[in-house]
Amino acid sequence: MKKRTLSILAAVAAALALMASACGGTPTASPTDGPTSSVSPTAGPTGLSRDPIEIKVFRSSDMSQGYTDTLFVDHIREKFGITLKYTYVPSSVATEKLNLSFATNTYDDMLELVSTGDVNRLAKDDFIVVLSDHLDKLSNYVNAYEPADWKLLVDTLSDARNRLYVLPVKEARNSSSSYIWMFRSAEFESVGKPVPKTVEELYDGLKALKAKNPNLTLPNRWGLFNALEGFNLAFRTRFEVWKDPDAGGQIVYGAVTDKFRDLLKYMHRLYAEDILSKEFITMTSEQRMSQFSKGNVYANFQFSGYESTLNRIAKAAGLPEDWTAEDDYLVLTAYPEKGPMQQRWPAFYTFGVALTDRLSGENLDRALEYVNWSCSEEGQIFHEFGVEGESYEIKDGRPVYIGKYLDEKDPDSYFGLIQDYGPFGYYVIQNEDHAALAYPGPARTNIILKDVEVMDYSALPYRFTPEEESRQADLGIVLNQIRDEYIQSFIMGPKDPGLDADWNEYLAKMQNAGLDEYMQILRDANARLG
Amino acid sequence: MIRERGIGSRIIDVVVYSMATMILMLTTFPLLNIVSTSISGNLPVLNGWVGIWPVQLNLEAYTRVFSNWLIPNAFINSVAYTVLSTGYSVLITLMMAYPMAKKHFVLRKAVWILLVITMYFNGGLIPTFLLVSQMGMYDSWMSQVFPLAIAIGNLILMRIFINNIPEELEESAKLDGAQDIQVFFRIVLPLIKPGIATIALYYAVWKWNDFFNPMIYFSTYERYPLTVILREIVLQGSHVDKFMSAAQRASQDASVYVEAYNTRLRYTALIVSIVPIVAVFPVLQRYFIKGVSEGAVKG
Repeated sequence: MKKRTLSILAAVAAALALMASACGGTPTASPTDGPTSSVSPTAGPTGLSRDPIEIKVFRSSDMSQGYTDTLFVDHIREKFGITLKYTYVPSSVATEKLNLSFATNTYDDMLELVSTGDVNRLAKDDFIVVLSDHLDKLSNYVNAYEPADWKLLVDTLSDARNRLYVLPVKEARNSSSSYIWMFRSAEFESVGKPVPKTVEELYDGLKALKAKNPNLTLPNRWGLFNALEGFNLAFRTRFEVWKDPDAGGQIVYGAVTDKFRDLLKYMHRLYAEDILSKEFITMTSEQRMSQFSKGNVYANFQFSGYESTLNRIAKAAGLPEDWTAEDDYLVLTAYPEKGPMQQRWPAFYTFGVALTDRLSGENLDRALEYVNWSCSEEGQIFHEFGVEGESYEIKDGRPVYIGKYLDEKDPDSYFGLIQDYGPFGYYVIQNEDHAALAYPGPARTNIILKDVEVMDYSALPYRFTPEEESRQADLGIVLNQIRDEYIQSFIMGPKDPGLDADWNEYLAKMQNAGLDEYMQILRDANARLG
Repeated sequence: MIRERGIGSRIIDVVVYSMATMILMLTTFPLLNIVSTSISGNLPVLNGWVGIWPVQLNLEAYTRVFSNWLIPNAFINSVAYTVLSTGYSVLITLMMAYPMAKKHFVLRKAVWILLVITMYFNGGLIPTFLLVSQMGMYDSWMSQVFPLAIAIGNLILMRIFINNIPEELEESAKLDGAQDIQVFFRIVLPLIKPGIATIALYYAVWKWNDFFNPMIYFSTYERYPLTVILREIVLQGSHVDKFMSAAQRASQDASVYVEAYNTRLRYTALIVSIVPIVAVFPVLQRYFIKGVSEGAVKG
């Protein structure tokens, strides 16, 4: 009798505890509501008091460390009662290994740092958990986005039934900025030319410097279209389809606009004057850097902070360290009345986290709880730095690694954080405050350029019908091929973008290849997303 | 009698030697360039000054490659997998070839047909993967040794070698009381050394260069051989620095000449990967040439 009474009391207590925990849940967010303004990290019960579970994680990784460190896994086990069992797969073979694991039914519970394209492909076969059904449990992730960024994410990555399967890694806005112009200012001044603010000033300056140094060149970065980078911002245009603010935000095919023609005329002049390298299409990274080490480059469009690297190159080559990126000269313009533009990169990467159908019921809830916690302020710091006193300490208000972790990870490395995961690295959300400290160059550039108009580099999202998808793909291939041929021909000759006959011939070819139909399909498909 | 050689013959000699020299240069120069680049300074590499001789000798790339755990570990793995799998493959290829060469073996034809079929058809990737996994070999060194142990081409070669051994030798050994196993190890094996050396080299090169199977069957970095790690380095070339520690990265001018430095590291890794297998060839060369030529003309 006594035993029975005790059992009943225990059951009632358990039921009450369950009700209490259900009432005290995490903040909720509906998929249609979008992000709210508050971020509420979930503390969660300690893992030691919960049934232990194991979650197998497939992680595409470039890690080089020996995975003997258990600080990370131990902490998660203690906090959530979850033992994370990682399979680290070199990123170069991640897709093959992923496909094989699903084909042989040996796939893991959680996929980390895998391509969003791979996840969406696997989702078609119902292997992947529909995360848009669980956004109320992922509020920290949702709330980390600005409403516009969140809409773009959902529009870009959801399937035709508006189902989201993957949480792409969110890059901190403070860790990246627009690329900027950097100059050897003293050299411009030495030939009586101002440090450029407009493309014409740049042209005049480079022409004068060419007279002084016949080997002067303007090396591009990795191919035809990268040669246009920087200049396209000055001319407020793009070679691809984008929303042009000068056309009232309408979707346009950039490469057939008058602004793009102006850009081509300018590039044609640079090429004709031998300022733009004759090898600009095929130039390798090494050939390009070689020109810097020979002192033949005077202007460069690169990511913020790169001027210090150029000065180190100059120093090593015995040249003056005269590269500068001055606040007033970070962007160029071709239309002073309209002003310059700066790049704005997508807020999220093309890889992220997904859960597979191996997880269900309580295990799925606990996995979601862990992911959501990792997006909280506490979780972000933990994933990036570990445990205070053990793997990092606060110095001058900034978390820095200590002990062996200091040697295993370079907090100042541009590539370090996202590539060198192990044993720590930011997970799904990169911490903004830390990014501001870790990347002072981009953070400062963002402040300087805060009033400069933005050119959004995110790919436009579309919702095609199956017929449209196939048709636009066919048209796009042909149109882009014609465009590429003509751009080369306009810059290098024999075509001259200044001649109406040549330009009209190009436009006519594009029209004949179905440009209007192509643009109509894209506009309709974009409009469906509201 | 030494026959007088005609002018035509001499011209042909000149043409043949010229072409052979040209082919030699075409194949050697890129290799020399890779070696030289790996041991040259960053600035000469960046500026394209390195031809077949190193410029500003610098062994830093080798120091860095060997001072990180990943590449030496992968190197040891490659050696271990190659030695084990070559030894095992040679052994069972010989033990399969011997009965296949014996006319009195009743099931010879049937077994031979089954074996030859596998030259044209195999189980397919997924069934093979499942089989290997279910036999407990996934993420184990065994996956590199036991599956795919016999290459039928090598089996055919060894059967030809064994066929060429006069029956009388084996008969006389048996008259002296030797068992089949003794005949195999004490009479047959010593007579087919060139063939063994040949297939050993074939197997070793195959296993050393094998990328696909380790990629499929391993799931931990510690077990990957050099081929997988090298591919990662080559494909992720711009981030090759990540294979180094922060302290290594901070030193010297590596961070300045990133492009040249990465190229040197990639080339160094390539040299490290090809030297061992190239070094094996001269040791086996004498047997190898004999083995290939005998296997080709007799049968």
